Amino acid sequence: MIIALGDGGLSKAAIMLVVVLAANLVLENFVEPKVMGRTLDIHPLIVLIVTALGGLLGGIVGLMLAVPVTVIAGDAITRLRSRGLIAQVADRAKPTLRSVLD
Amino acid sequence: MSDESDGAARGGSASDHETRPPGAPAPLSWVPRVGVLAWSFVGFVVATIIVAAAFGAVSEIVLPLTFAAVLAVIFKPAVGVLERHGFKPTLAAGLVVLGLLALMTGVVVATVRGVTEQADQIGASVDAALGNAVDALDVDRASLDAARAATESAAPTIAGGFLTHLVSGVSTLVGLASGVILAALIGYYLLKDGTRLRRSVVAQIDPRLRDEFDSFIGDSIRVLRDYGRGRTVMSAIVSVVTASPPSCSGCRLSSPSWWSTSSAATSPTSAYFSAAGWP
Repeated sequence: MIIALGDGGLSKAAIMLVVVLAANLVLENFVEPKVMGRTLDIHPLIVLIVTALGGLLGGIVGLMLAVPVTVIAGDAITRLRSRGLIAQVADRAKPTLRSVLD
Repeated sequence: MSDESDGAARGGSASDHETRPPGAPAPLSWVPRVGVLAWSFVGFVVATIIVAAAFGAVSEIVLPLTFAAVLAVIFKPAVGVLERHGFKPTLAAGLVVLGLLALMTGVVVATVRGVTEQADQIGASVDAALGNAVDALDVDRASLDAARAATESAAPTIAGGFLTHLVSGVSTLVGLASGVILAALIGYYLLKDGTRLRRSVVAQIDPRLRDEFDSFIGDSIRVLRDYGRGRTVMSAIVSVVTASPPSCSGCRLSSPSWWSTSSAATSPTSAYFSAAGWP
C-alpha cells in the first residue's frame, strides 16, 4: 500500500488497501473454512471459531493446530461415547456432585 | 421401592424431604442436572488452562516436538516411496529431513534476497509515499521539519534501543536454530522408527482396547494428512492471490519479491504434494 501511495498517489493506495483487506477477509474467513471443512469433513463455522480460539490461546501454533486437534478430539469423544465410557464417568460423578450441590 | 429411590425418580432426593419445610414447592428436577453440567464445564476449563500452562512452561521442547510430529506424519509416505526404491530406512528418513531443511532454507533465502535486492526501490517508494501523504494531508512543512529534528536528536536513544533489539534478536535466532535442529532430529527419528514406535505404544494398551486405540491413531494420522492437503490447497490459493497484484498498476515490485512472498506463503507440504502428484 505504501508503494502504491508512493508510485500512484492516494487513489491507488486506497484501491490497494481495499484489495488487500478484501483478499484477506475473503481468504481467511470464507475460503479457508470452506477448504478445511471440505477436506476434514467438518462445518466451516466450526473451522472459523476453532481457528480464532486457537490463535487467541496458542498464537501461531494454536492457529495451525486448532482444526486437526479439534477433529481428533471429536473422534476420540465419539469413540469414548460409543463404548459408553463417558456415560460411566458421568454416572460415577453425579452422586458426588449432587451431594456437593445439596 | 424405597423412599430414596422414589424421591430420586421424582427428581428429588431423600434429603430434600428432610430439609424441605411442609408445604414448600418441590425443587425443579433439572436443577441438579444443570449444576452437574456447570461444574463439569468449570472443571473442563480449569483442566484446559492447566494443560495450556504446562505446555507453555515447556514450550521450547513442545513446539519442535509438535511440528516434528506433524511433519513426520505428513511426510512418512515419502519415506515409504524411497524405501520401495531400495533406500534403507535410515537413509530415506535422513534424505526427507534434509530435503525439508533445504526447502525451508531456500524459501527463507529467496524471501530475504527478494526484499534486500529491492531495498533501494522500496526506500524510494516510501520516500515518495511520505511526500504524497504530506501533500495530500496538507501537513505543515515546519511541523514536519520539527518532527525530523526531534527524531535526529533521539538518535542515541534509538541506537541504544536498536542494540537491545539486536541482542534480543540474536538470542531469538539462536533459540530458533536450536528449535529447528531439535525438530529435525525428532522428525528424523519419527520418520525412521515411527511405525515401530506406534506398534510398541499400542502393545502397552489393554488387549481389549488395542484395536480401538490403533484405529484411533490411524484416524488421527489420516486427519493430519488431510489437514496437510487442505493447507496445501490454501497455500496454492494464497500464492495465486499474492502473485496477481503485479498486474495492477501502482504496484511496481519486480518478480523476485512476489515470487518469494508466494513461496513463503507456500508451506513445505505444498512441494511434497506437488512432487507426489497430488491431487
